[in-house]
Amino acid sequence: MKKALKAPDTGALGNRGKKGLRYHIQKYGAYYVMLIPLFIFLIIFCYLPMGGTVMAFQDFRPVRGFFKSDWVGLENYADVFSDKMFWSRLKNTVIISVLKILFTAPAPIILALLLNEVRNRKFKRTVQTVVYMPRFISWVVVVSIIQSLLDVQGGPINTLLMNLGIIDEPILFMGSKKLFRTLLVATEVWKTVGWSSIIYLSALTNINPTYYEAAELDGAGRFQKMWYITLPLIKPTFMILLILSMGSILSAGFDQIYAMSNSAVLEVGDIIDTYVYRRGLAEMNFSYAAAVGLFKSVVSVVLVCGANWLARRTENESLF
Amino acid sequence: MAGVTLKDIKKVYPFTSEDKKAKKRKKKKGEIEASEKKVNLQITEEGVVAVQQFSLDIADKEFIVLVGPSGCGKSTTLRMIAGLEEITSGELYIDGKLVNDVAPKDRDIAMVFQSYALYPHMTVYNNMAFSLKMKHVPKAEIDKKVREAAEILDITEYLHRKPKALSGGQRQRVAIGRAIVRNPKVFLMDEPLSNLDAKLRNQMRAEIIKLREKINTTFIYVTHDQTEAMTLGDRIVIMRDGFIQQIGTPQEVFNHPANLFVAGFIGTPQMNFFRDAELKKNGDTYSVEILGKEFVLPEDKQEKLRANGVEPGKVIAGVRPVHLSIADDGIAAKVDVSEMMGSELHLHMDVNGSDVVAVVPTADLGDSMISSHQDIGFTMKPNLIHLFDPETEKSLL
Repeated sequence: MKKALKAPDTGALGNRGKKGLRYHIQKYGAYYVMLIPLFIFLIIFCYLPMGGTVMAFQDFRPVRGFFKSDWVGLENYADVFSDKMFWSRLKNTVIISVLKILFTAPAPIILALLLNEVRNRKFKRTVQTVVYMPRFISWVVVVSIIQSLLDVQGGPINTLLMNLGIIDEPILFMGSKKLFRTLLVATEVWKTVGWSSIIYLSALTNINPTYYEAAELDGAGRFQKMWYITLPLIKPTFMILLILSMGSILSAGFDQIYAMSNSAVLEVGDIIDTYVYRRGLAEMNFSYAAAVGLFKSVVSVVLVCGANWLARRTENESLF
Repeated sequence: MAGVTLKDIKKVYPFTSEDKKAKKRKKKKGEIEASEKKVNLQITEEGVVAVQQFSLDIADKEFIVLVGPSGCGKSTTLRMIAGLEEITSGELYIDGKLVNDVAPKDRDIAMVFQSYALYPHMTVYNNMAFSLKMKHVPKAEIDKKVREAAEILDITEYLHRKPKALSGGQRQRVAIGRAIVRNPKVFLMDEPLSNLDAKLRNQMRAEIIKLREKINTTFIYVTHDQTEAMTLGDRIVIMRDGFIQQIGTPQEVFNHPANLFVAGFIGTPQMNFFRDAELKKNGDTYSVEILGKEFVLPEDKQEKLRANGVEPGKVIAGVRPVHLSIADDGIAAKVDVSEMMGSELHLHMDVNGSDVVAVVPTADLGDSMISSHQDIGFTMKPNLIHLFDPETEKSLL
C-alpha cells in the first residue's frame, strides 16, 4: 500500500474544493504574497540557468553566445565519458558522499535523542545554540580554524598528541591521503549536526507523550522506549531526509572540498564539482562543464526516484 | 487481583521558574489570570493543587468510577495510581503494599488511555504483545495470551492490521486487549469511551460490563460522563476542585446526594433547584414551601431533620425532573419548550420567571400531548424532595 508523506491539509490551493481559485486567493492572499520572493529566487537562480544546459550540446564560445555557437550533439558527453579523470573524480565523489551520508544521517538523530532527554531547559537551550552555531560559519572560516588546529608547526592537536606520547613527530593532517576523507566527514558532521538535529527535535516533540506513558506501563525502560517507540516514529522524517540526500550524492560539498583540498590530496579529495570548476571555468571549457552538470542532475533525479521507490517498497514510506 | 487504598493523597504541581516569571509580569501589569479562573484548581503558594485529602478504599474486584467535571483532579488521581504522576503527599497501597515510590511497570497495573495510545507503527498483535515482550515472556506464551485476549474482544481478524486501519471502536478494543494480556491486578481506564460517538459509546459500555464479568479484576474508571459512571460503577466517587464530594453506590448518590454539586451533577436532566424554598416547623412537624405551595415532609425526613437539629428558614429545595408530575391543581407553569423524546416528554417550564424541567412518561399522557406555550400545573411527591443548606450547600437530610 502506498503511503506518501504528505504535508498536513492546510486548506491551501491544492485542497480548494468547490470554492474556486478566486476565493482561495482572497482568503490566503497574504500567504501567496509571502511566497513571491521565493518564487522570484527560484526563477532567477534555478529555472533561468536551466536554459544554459543547451551548452552541453554545443561547442560553446562566450563571444558567440548560445545562439551562434555550433551544435555538436553528444560530442561533449563522449569527451566526458572517455575522460579517465572524470571517472576517478566520480568515484571520489560517490565515496565521499556515501561516507558523509553514513555519518551525517545518524549523528543528528543521536544528538536530538540526547537533547530530548535533557530536563534542564537552560542547559538544553545553551547546548542547542552552541551546536547550531557552526552552521552559520562559512567553510572558509571553518577550514582556517581546522588548519590552525591541525598545523604541523605548533598546532594544538599535534602538540597534544606529542605531549601525550601518542606520536613522535607531528602529522601533516591536511596533506595526508589517508586522513583527508576522515577530516572531510568529521568537519561536515561538526558543522551540520546541530542544524540537522532541529528537524529531528521537532519530530520528537510531535510524538504523543502517551506512547511513552503506555510503554512505561508496559515495562519498557529508557533505552527500550527509544528503540521501540522513538526511533520507529521518527523513521518517516529520517526517510525523507535520506531520500533528499540521495539527490546530492554527486555533489559531495564543493565549498568544503575546494577550501580544504590541496595538490597532495587531490587524488582522494578531488570531486566532480571541483574538477568541473577547474576544467570548465579555469580552462574556459563551458560545454564540458555543462555536460557534466546535466549528467549530475539526471543521475540525481534517478537516485532520488530510485530511493523513493525503494523506501516505498521496503519500508512503506515515501516522499512522493 | 487486589484492592487499592489511597490515604490522604495530595497532588501539587509546583510552579516552574517560567510560571513564576509570567506571574510576576502579570502582577506588574495588573492582569487577571483568566486561565487560573477557568480551571477549577486551587492556586497556592506551593503551586497548583490538583488533588487533596483524597482517601479511598477500593475493594478487590470492585469497579470504582471517578467522575467529575474537567479539571476536578480525577485523571490526576488515576495517573498517580498508575505511577505516571508523583504523589506530593499521602500513601498509596496496591494489594497492601505501599507503592508511592514503585515504578509504574512494577505496580502490576494496566491502563487504557483516552487516546488509546496504540503504537502506530506496530500491528495490533505487536501492540498487544509489547508488554509481554518487555517481560521476556516466551513467544509461544505471548501468542497464546494475545490470541485469547483477541478472542474475548472479537478482534482476531484485525491482529495483522495497524491501528490506523481500524475504526474508533476497534482501536478501543485493542487498547483494552493490550491491558488484558498482562492479567493485571488493577485495571485503570482514563475516559476510554470519550472519543467514540454516542452509539458506539453505548455499545462499548455494554462491552465493558461484559468484560468485567469475564476478567473479574479491580477496575478504576475515570469519566466525566455521569451516565457511564452510573451504569458501570459498583461505587462512584464524585470529585470537584480536587476534593471528593461523595462516595457511594449509584443509587446512593442519586437518591441521597451529599451536597448541591452532587445533586446537580448526577442525573439527566439536571435536578431542579428552588432557591427561595422555606423550611417551616409547626410543632414537631417540618414542611417545606416551594413556589407558594406547602409540602409536609414524610416521617423519615422529619426524623433526619430533627436529628440534625435543623432550624426553620430559607433552604434550597431540589427535585429531579423525573419526580415532578402533571397535576391540574398543582403549581401553575407555562411550558416554554416541549421536547418529545419518544418514551418521555421533556417539559421546560417557566414558573414565575424560574426555569423548571419536568420529565413526563408519554405513556401517562395517553393521546393528549403537552405542547409548547401551554399552561399546565405540576406537583411533586414530598418524599422525593431534597433539601440543602443555602450557605454550606450540604444536604440537610
